[in-house]
Amino acid sequence: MKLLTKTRHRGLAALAAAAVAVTGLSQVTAFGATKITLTEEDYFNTPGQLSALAAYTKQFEAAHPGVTITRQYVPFANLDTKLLTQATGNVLPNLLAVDNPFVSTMISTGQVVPLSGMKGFSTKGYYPAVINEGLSNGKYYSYPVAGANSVALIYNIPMLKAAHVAPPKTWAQLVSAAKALTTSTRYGIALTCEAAEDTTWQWEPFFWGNGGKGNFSNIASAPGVQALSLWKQLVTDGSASKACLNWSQTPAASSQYIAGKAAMMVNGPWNFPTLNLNHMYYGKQFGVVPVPVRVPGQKSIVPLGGEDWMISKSGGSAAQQLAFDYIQGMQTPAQELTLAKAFGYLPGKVAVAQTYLKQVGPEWKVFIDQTLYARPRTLGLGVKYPKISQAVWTAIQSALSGQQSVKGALSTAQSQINTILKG
Amino acid sequence: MSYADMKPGAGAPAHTISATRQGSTSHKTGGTQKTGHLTAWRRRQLAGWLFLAPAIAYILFAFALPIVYNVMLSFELTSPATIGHFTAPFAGLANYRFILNDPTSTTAIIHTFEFTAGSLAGQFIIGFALALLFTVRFPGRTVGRSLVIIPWLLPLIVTGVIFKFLFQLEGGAVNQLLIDIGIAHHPIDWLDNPHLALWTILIANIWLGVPFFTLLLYSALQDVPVEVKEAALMDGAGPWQRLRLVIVPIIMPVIEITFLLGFVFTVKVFDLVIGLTGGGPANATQLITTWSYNLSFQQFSFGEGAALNNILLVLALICAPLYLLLSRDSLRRSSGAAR
Repeated sequence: MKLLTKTRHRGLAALAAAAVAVTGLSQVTAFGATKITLTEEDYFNTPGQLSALAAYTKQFEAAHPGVTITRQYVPFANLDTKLLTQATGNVLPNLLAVDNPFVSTMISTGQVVPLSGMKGFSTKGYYPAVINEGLSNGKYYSYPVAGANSVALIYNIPMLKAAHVAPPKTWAQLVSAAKALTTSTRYGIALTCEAAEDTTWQWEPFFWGNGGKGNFSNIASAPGVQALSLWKQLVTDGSASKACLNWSQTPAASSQYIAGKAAMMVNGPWNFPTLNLNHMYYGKQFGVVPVPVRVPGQKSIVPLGGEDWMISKSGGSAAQQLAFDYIQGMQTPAQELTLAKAFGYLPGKVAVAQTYLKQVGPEWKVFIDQTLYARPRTLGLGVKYPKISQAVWTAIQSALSGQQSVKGALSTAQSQINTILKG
Repeated sequence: MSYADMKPGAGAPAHTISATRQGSTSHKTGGTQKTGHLTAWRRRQLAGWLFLAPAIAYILFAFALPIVYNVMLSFELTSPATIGHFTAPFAGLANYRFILNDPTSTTAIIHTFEFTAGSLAGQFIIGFALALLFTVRFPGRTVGRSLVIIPWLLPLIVTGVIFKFLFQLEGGAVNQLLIDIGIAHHPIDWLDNPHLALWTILIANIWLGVPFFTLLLYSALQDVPVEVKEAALMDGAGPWQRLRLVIVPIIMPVIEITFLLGFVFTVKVFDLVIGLTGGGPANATQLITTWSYNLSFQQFSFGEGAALNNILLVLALICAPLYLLLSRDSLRRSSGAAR
């Protein structure tokens, strides 16, 4: 298709040149530059995201005459499937913005090209976890789209003040604070435990921060049992609603918090605009602390969210190089800041994140600090991650719904994970 | 009536016309009347096939190809890495072995059966009761009959959302009602309890399927001849006897078909489960459809997903001939009854 458009444009150029010759005007025209169209697919849909991307594209097209970027929106729920289908037919778009747990899967299709070795590619300055999302067999395959995000404990300041509790730092404090904050009309904390990835993602900081391994190989040992027992206790105490079994992180759990039906939630910075819209502002109505740890001295290790740019094999080396230029141009500090602000993410580079903190506000501090110790979910697991995550959220649901004991649920998960890791 | 009966009668005049017309052309090639007749026949055959060709191509493309590909997939060791090629390494029976040893898959199969049986039973009882009710004249009958169709007009995912609101633990309408009238003392975890969740989805699905049963059975009841009912009444049959011994046998063909179609609709329920529980809590509400989707598109084990899907395919393959048999049988019976 790209070839077709190219030849057609060449034909047009020839026609135009002929016309010019006939009319006797022998000026050199701009038709010398070859026209090329790059296709791009993503699931971004907030006004901020759209206008920021459109503005960058316009700027890029202006700097590269003859180049057109055609964007195709695919809803979040369909993008992975669509990309896999396109990979089957070797018709991937030139540029793809994928959710980071899916990066490994795309690499394994063999239809994307490594960025390592492309002119100008550099991993310098990035948070290790951010750039390592695209690391496979020593080669890097991705750049962050607008940086990254993660989760922390967001709490309602007036509610905590009224109940005379301080923001919890440890699990014991979390349990007692949640209990103290629970009333007949509200829960202490809103958790997410639906049958989906966001449940595993919410639980990961508790498990990883407590010595859990990145590949979940010790999930049925103390780190996992203690972390899941904590969640179970929050539900048994009545401090967290059992309805979380059908709550997504956003908007289900977050709207419980915003409606005042929960005093705390484990959630991410993408909620800031919505919180502000509901007249909840940082420092007055809400505060942010890291996800509590079991014992003082432990460090919260969060998973990283966000999307990554990848380049497909489609269109040959010229198209690949142009696609690379497109995403390379977004990695300048100025672009990183613009995009991160528009997306509600934090920039992918440590130094840029510090500048960002000064510009956007202190509510980002916890997120920026903890990203240094963050862990990409698929690192070392690759395509096995979705299966492992499924085993983990099933165990969480099983224990919280009372189908199995905490230990029983985790040992079921452990044997599944062992099989997955071996395979 | 059959195709063989029609051929000589309908075909004869056409034969003569085409044979004579053909005769003039066949003179040049020195052919006889007989070969000319054959050519015409062959040409008609060819035309027939040409007219059939689009339909055959469509069926091959839309039905045969996906089924064959799905069967192929189920014997392959698939992964995202193999997706760029049409085929993947041969896996033998590994995918089927996985399905049989995977507790979630086996419970999904059992759940599908339970869910289907429960849905059909509930849909039939309520649907038939409503159909009988609407044969009785009462004020508001027409309005009631139109209202019954509403569940059918809603997209499944909307039904999912409605039932999620109705049955949710926090502030769900059902819990509120039960507490207000004193049946329950604390909210019931309809969708959050692994032992209850499938029942809740079953209730939603019965609600969804009732219109279909009501409409079909109602129209069948309309067709029961008044004389037969009156004759039964004259013979002293009570209402229950009239229903059991007269009405039900007469509309039996429709009941059979309704059940069969209901079976097909229920066995492939997907959106409702995804909308209500996503298969949770802890896979307690996974059906064959949802779990094979999960295997294929969330865990990217296309081979395992295909293997589980083939079990659904076998179920459908058992049902298709059964449907043909029943519909032919009931056609015969109903035409016999009309006579």
